[in-house]
Amino acid sequence: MIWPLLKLDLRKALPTYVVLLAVQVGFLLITRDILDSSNVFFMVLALAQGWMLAWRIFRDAPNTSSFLFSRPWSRPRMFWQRWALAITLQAVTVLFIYGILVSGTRTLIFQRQLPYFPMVERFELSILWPISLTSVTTFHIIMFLILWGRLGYNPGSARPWQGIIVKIALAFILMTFIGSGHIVGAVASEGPRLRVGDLALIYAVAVAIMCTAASLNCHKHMEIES
Amino acid sequence: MNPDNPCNRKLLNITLLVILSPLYALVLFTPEVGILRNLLVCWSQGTPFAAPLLYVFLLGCIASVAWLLWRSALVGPISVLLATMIISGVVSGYGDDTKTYELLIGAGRPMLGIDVFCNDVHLGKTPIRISEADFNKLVKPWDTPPDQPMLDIDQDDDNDRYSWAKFFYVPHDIFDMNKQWPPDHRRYSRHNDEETLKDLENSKYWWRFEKDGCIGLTRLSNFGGGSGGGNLITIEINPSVSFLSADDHLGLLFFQLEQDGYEPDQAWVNHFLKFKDLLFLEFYTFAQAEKKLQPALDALVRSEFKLSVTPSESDCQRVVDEIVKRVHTDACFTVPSFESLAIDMVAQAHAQPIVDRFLELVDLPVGGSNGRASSDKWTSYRRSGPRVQLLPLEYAIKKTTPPQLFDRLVYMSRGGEYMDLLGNYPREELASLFSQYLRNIEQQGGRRRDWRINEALRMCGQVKNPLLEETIRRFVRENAGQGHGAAKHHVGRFIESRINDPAFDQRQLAAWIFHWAPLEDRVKLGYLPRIQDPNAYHYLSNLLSQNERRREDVLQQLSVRPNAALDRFVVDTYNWYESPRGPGYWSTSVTYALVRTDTEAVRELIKEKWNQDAKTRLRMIRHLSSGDWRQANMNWLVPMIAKLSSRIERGAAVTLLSRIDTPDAYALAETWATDPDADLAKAATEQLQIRDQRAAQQQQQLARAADLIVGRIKPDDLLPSPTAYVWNGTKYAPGNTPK
Repeated sequence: MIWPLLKLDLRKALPTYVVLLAVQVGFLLITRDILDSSNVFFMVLALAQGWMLAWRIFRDAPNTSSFLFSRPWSRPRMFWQRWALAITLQAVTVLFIYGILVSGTRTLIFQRQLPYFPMVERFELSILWPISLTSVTTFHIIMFLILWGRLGYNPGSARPWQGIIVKIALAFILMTFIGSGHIVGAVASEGPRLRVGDLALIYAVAVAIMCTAASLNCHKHMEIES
Repeated sequence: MNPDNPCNRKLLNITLLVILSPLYALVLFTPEVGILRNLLVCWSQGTPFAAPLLYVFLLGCIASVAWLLWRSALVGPISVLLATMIISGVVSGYGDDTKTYELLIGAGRPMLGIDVFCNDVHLGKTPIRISEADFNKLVKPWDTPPDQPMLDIDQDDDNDRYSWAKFFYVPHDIFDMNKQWPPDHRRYSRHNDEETLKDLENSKYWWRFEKDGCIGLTRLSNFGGGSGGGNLITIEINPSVSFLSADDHLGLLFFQLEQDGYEPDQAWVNHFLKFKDLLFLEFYTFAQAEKKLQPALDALVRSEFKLSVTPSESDCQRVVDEIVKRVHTDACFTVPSFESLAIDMVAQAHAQPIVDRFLELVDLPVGGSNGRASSDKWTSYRRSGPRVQLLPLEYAIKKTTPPQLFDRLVYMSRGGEYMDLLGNYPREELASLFSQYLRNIEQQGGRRRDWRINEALRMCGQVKNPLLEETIRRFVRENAGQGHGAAKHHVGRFIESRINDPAFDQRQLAAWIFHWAPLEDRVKLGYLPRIQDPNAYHYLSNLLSQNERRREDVLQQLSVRPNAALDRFVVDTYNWYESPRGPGYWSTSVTYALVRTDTEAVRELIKEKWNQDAKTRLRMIRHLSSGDWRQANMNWLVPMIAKLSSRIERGAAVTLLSRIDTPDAYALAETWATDPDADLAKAATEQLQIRDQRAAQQQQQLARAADLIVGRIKPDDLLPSPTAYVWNGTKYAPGNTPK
């Protein structure tokens, strides 16, 4: 464990993480809708969390990078520690939501307002899978794109606008891929007995493995300004 | 990226491709704009180059992937990909507007597997889907109308006989009718025989239908219509086919069953199952009215699915799988049907296989359309896609309410979709759930509000849960007037579903119908006589006090469907007919109602009139003698008839003996046959002749039933020789066409 790096990452990630966690928990306790995997607000929060964790943990200011990468820590070790921290924080979020749901807090709050409780209590746990998948997938994609973007650049490039276009294109992709995944899942599942959830899981696993491998490769060859 | 960086570029590009894979899949497969899907449609329509731009888009998509793999550049491939997607979306629907047609024959009907012929070419068994191109390859048009081996047509001088006639070959130029624009209404005008015959003369395609070797006759109307949209138009035709021999066939089987003490032997069961599609619905209808037929119906269902009386769970699993498979193949589920009865039977024995299969299938993606066709006797449910398999399981869940599914169904029904599955559960939590659901529907506005109200009213008729009855009745009362036309129909179904159901207090139901049902008095008078509760008499009398003439309509109902709880009404009506306030004529409906109701109160009435003066007694005898009834329960009249001493009374009462049709009655007839009074002896002898004729007829029926069951004769052999008709150039005339 590289403690200075851990402290640095926590200091960068925790404030935003805690705010997002508070928003998720607050929404969980306030919403009168019965929760299911089509709850868009939760999906957006999970996406924001994955994005934020990758952004806050793997993106360093130039002077911080210079400091970190001049330490006697191996690059793979640094990568795996940061990756594990992000995954742990995402797992904490899921466990927090799980704890609130299984403790029956929502039932206590809403059983006099909505006639569905407590019959639906355990079925609301079905939101955990989509939250986890969205958060993990987004985290890995953003992590890969951040590290890929830091492989180096040409200071004397004659086409600096290309970077802006790339960023716009990436934002567009990230907004599209989750929605398109749903449509594609629905189309593909008409024939063979593949469900949308199965497709999403396959996609998430593929993205996680590929992005982790590629990000590790990028991390090893990252060019640091001195 | 710095070109000198030694990172693994292949790994990076492949990772990017994996991330983008949903976007590529979207461009290729999306239902509306997907390139491959649109190309597939073009190929399936036989016009692979109808939209050449699609091939350009496909090449663009492939180029984007290749570029991404070859170079690590991002802007280029994504630009190509997005341009492909956007242009493909814009031009879809603007390419080729050539419409292609296909026929869908007999889908979603209770009777499937009907052989369909057009111009004597066998197209297959229903449900049939055939494209216009294939149809035209197979079927060549006929220039003149064919001769009709059978034609059921009125022989009177009506000028609209052909519209109502049933044809062996029925004309329908289905593609011409649907492709005409603007439509030539005069070409298909059939207001009188002249116009109909002109239409027949011009028709090129003549259809006929057969089922299990039985000939079906079809009317010109109700043949079906068009449906569909986009470039592929599916024309659905569901002709109403009558199989003439079905009634006689079923009658003989009933007769044989009665002879066997309502315990069918295997030969009878096998024969029935051979013709099950033709016979089932009628048999089921009779079995609902006559409980003695229930064991035979159960035996048929068990034999069809090879189920024992106490099936094991694995047996139930097998039957559930088979039913789900059949429904998937037929793309519809009909109630009642062998499948609906079997799944109900299985659910009563072991619910777990149904629960397991339901949970397995319920996560299939939601989408597609639901459809429903129904008549008084059946309802056929359709659903597009693989979720059609859920239909029998949902039906079983509604009927048996397996407790292990309750929580899951509550979760699923929060949007209102599965509320009908949940409605029958005997759980108190449902009361507030259901109230909230119905309140939401009432409070919602919008364009589809009427439709939602009607759907909720329809569901209210299906939910039979005493715990929810108050909530449901309030909803029906307050909302039936606000829905469109079908609302009244749903209210009727709602009431019918509760009449004589032991789960509902019939006294309260009668009161609700009288005070609250949002129906006209005329319609209420159709329901109250069916309620088997003495209190219905009170409400019936109140309604009739405003219009005494309607009493005859009610009595007509009671003569067909006797109701012992309304015997006071029958007695009152008899007295009303006899009173000066009455209509002044006699109706055989009163006679039928008297002899079929036959309660203590009715017997008292008959005895009272019988024991009054001779004139009253004679009137009663004559009233009883009207109508062609056969009721052995009236055997108690025989001693009273035997005691008659007057010659006139005996002469009038003797005809009752063959109506009573019991050994006691015929014993009296034998005694009277030797009476010195020649007229009485002759009348009594005639009664004995009727007995002998019936016995001979019975023997003949037994022999025919035996022949039918072993296959020596076919069902259509039961029909009298049909009159063939030949086309004489202008119309059909009786002739000698070989069958």
